[in-house]
Amino acid sequence: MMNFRHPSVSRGLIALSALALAGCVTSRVEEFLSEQPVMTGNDAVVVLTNRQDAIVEAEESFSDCIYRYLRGGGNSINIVTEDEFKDAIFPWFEPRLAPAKAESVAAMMDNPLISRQVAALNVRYLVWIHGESEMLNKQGLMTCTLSPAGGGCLGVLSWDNASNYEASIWDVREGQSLGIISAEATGTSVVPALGLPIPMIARTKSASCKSLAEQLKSALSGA
Amino acid sequence: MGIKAVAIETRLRTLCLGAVLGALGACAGGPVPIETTFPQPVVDPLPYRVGVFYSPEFNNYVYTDEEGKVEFELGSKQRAVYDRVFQAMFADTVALTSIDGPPRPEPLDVVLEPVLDEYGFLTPAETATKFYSVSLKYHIRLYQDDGTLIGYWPFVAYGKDRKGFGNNNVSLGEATTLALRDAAAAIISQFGGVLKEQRWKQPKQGDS
Repeated sequence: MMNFRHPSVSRGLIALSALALAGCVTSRVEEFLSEQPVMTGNDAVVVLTNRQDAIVEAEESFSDCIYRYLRGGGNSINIVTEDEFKDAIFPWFEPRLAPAKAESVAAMMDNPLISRQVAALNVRYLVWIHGESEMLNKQGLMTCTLSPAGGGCLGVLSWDNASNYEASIWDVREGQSLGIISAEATGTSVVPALGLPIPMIARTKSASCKSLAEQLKSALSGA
Repeated sequence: MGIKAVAIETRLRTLCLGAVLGALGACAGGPVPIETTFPQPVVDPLPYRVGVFYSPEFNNYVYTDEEGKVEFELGSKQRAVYDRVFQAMFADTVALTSIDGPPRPEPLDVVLEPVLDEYGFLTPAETATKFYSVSLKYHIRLYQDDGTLIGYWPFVAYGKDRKGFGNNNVSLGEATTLALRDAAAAIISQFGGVLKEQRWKQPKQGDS
């Protein structure tokens, strides 16, 4: 058994424990697929961020998180990155020209230059990610002081976190939409401070990513 | 100290903290990183022999905002985009050092000169969104082989990028890169039709 007698070590542990605290998160995932994807051989998936909406756009960190889940662990999915895909068929998936519906992909694939590039990457499915995370209802007061004798904070801050994302799956080969998987998560973050602030953050984005990616992986891998 | 006094003190401290953070944000500055290489466009070349002229103003364009807080070089980056696009779009391109040079041994179907009319950006605070938005207003001048102006084609390219937690100039640079890519998308998807169907705008009086 280890004994921590040095005050600074104890304080460090308290701070680490505080960082590890997390606010409660409620999450829900729903799947509306008219048809299950069928991945065979070297078939690959591209996860694309929908950038055509002027206001709402999924964060890069969210897309990265989806990538990590799909690529890692068991039943890993063969992934082509968004940059790799968009550069390979530049400029046809830039926001100005990217197809707004799955049927338009079929028309795009009639261009042999484009279809050849897509085939070279073995891309079978496009997954469009749309949504965002928000902080709402910020409340509370906290005052912090710092002096040569020490410092500290007093008060409490709180806010609500909400994350809403959806993934639309398009079959490139058939030029059709298979449907969507959506994930939403809500929670309240609280930071009480009685000397040291203790952040209890509701990590809704992380929860949405995990639930959406797991459902997506399950659908794509057929597991 | 009463409750009211505590609240006032808190607000003052919040204001002070805001001022410090604001000052740090203003000082964030630093370079505006814009992509210098662009992918090879996937396009069937049109059967035209095209001359391309870039003015020194276009090649050496440097953006400076009114307050002198933001300054970066854009000329070489936009030239890189146009070079990529024109070389992919046309069967043959010839780089010209002037519009009306001596007669060429092989005539050109058309001479093109891209012109940047305006670079503009909006901050998230100005648009009440989470994005930096960039617009690039261009027109491409079209000349006959002998240097006679026959028309121009105007277009606007856009790019946006989410405001990051760190240096805001990184977001501005990314939005500018996306606007340059959008310029390529606009030219490749529309300019071929403009040339084929001669849908360019007629030059105004005084243009040369």
